[in-house]
Amino acid sequence: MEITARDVAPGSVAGISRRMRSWAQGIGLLWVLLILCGVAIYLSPSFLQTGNLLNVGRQVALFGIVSVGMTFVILTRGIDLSVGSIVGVTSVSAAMMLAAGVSIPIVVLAALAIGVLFGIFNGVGVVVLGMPPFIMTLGTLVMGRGIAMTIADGQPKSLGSAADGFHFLGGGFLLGIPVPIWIFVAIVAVAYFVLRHTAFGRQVYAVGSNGEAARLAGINVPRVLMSVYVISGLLSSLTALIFVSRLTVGEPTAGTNLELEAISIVVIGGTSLFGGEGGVVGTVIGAAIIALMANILNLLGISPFTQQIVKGAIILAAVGFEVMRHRKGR
Amino acid sequence: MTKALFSLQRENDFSKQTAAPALVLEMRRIHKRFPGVNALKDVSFTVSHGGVHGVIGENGAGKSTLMRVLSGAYIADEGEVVVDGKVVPSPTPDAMLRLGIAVIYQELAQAPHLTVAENIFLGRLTKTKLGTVDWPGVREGAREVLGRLGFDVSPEARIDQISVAQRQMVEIAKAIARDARIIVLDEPSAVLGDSELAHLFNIIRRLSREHGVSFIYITHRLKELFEICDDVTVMRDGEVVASTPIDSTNTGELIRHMVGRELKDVFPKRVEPRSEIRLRVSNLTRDGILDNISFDVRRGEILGVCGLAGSGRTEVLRAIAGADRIDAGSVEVDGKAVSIDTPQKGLAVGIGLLPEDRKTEGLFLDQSVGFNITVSKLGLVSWRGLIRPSSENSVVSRFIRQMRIKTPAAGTKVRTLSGGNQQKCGIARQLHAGNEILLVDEPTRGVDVAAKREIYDLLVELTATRGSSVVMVSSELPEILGLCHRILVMRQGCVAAILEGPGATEEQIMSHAVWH
Ligand SMILES: Nc1ncnc2c1ncn2[C@@H]1O[C@H](COP(=O)(O)OP(=O)(O)OP(=O)(O)O)[C@@H](O)[C@H]1O
Ligand SMILES: [Mg+2]
Repeated sequence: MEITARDVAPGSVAGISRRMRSWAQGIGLLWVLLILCGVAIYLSPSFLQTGNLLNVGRQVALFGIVSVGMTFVILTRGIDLSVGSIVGVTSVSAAMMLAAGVSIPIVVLAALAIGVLFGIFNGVGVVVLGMPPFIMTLGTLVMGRGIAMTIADGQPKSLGSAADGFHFLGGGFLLGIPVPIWIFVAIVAVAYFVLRHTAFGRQVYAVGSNGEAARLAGINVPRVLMSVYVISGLLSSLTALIFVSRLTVGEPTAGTNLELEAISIVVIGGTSLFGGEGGVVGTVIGAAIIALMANILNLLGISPFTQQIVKGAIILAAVGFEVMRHRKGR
Repeated sequence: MTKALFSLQRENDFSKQTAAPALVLEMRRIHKRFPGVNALKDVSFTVSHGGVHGVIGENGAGKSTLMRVLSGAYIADEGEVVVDGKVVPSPTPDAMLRLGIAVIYQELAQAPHLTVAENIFLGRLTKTKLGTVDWPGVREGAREVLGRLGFDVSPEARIDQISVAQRQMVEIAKAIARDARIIVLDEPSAVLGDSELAHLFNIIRRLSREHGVSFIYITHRLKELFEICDDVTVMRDGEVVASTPIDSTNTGELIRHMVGRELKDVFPKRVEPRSEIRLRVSNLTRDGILDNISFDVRRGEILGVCGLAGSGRTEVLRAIAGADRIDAGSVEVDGKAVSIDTPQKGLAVGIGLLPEDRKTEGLFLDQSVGFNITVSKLGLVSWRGLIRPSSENSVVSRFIRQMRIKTPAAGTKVRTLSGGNQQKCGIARQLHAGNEILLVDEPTRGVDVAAKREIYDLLVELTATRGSSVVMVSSELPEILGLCHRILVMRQGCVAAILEGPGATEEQIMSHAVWH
């Protein structure tokens, strides 16, 4: 009798799952985070060593930056599968430019421009051609990886003599804290402000909650959609610069599977895949949870293969919970 | 299917045997609280065998909540439901369905891509011996129920291809096919046209008199109560304030119970519009839908648009506002030709649209009341793109007060508001945007009598003091006749007539609206 559930959709089930959701979103996520910290400390006293903590922090930052962009896209009820490939293309391009002696500010600008161009490309597909975001960005994912491989001829590109000068962005420290963490904090602050306090932020939520209502309310839906894909592309290429700087090499395979990482961070952070609900604070916590999980699995000495199984299961659980909630809640 | 047949038969015999109306349903001392709202306070309610029991009350009074408790969708905090003299031990949705209680909600929940037959038997599709669905049997069964009820709907039609009225019929057929003995109709007249409603009333009368089915009928139109109900219960602020046989009460008394004060049943005084033409529409055409529509609206004028369902009323508004593409024709605002192909461009020249379907086109249900009110003109509460919380808060609380939107807080999600209060949020958004040309589609749908008056007053004030122009689509002829300076009657996508408002009659409008 699955019909009865549908018939009474506005009912108690919705109420309960909504309560579970606000619970999970509010203190729940923080609790999960705290428990994970406790587990990590219990498992290995070395967890609390500065070196390890900074490592975890750096990882939160790297995945977190892309996930902030992904949060914008998912809030509009979209998805951006191409982030990893954008990282790949940007990495090899930046490395080759640096190796060729192009000055660092120009390389940075050019690299960010690559991200923006990819964002525009995705945006045009979604907005102008009306392609489903999943398909459009899947195409970009495949094409982008191909472009990266072609440019680099399948080989990692070393920075050559420019490596030292470019080290600060990904490997440097400021007041004892790695630069990528500072960048991440700044980006989160800006994103939080934009989503909470600007008209554009409101429009992002409006488009994700009800696209047709947003259009009829006079919101420039195409512009909002275009913007979120550009933001996502821009933050992807920024991530690539940090990768390149830290590894002193531009890998055409850089960022592989990053899209899955980012999507699971966003979803675990409580942003709805169905648009219009969630935000960047959850994404920060989601990124911390994912990084801690990985750290704990490492501390436990679990093989990378098994780690993959665990990670996949967590993603499925988070997304499954979200889908179920959505189905019952409406 | 023979089961439903049999049950109609059985009920029939039963009704002959019982002389005095026996109680089939009793709800005793029901309490239901939501965060910030005490939705039901000690509500008791009875329904007699074969009776039609009307329920009225202001928006947010608790009518729909009571029905959700009855259907098992909500679990009451206190109180009990008694069916046939026996307390229902665990009132789950399943149990209530099995006891023969069917609720047809304000917002229909149907599977849009399934056929009528599939919807009628959803969840109970008969199987063949092989375990596959017995489609011919299902179709036959559906045809049989529909025929028995005298519904003119094809079992093969898809839900999203039939009218709202027909969907109501499908829901009733579904209830009957499940042997429902108590059918709840939550504001059917908010979505049905006059002739469809008349048809629904015939069905209610037949089922209640001949087959002993009981009905609970929720409405905001008092006239309907006297047409169809045996008893009426008035709710206010989550409490039952009166419950009487319909014969021993009258409209004035009911309104007094409902709003707690007298309400003069007059429309605000019409103020003469100014002479300048604000909006001129010429030869507007959408192939197959709108044919050569021309009219104009002056400053300070309220133009009513009426016509039968499907005559193109809604489509005219949507075309002008830029919501739908047009194939030919032009629109002038203040004498200047404008090209509006998106609602955004419409808004830029001061044209705002209140869409017909608040749920799918109007509101952001998972966002707050405040969000919904300010979203289309955020510029008015922000400074260089930054929203100023203080000015937003004051705007929002002003509207909540002025329009008497019943909500625990400005930050409450619109989804949890009652139907009529959701509608008010949509209207508040239009008023906030302050557009000079307002295109409103069924602005008072689902809104209670007192709030209707508020909305009329606001519309008249806008036109009289600010010189705004209003084009109002409504299927409630009294409000068209009472408010509008002129009335545009549509018929099959064309303008059938433009009448002067004062002096026009319902008969006159209908004679233009219907083909003859
Ligand atoms: N799921 C919910 N969560 C929180 N509050 C709710 C919920 N459902 C209803 N309410 C509140 O309960 C009150 C009663 O709502 P209800 O829908 O029963 O009103 P109603 O009498 O049907 O009004 P209307 O005529 O506008 O349809 C309202 O104040 C509403 O905000
Ligand atoms: Mg209601």
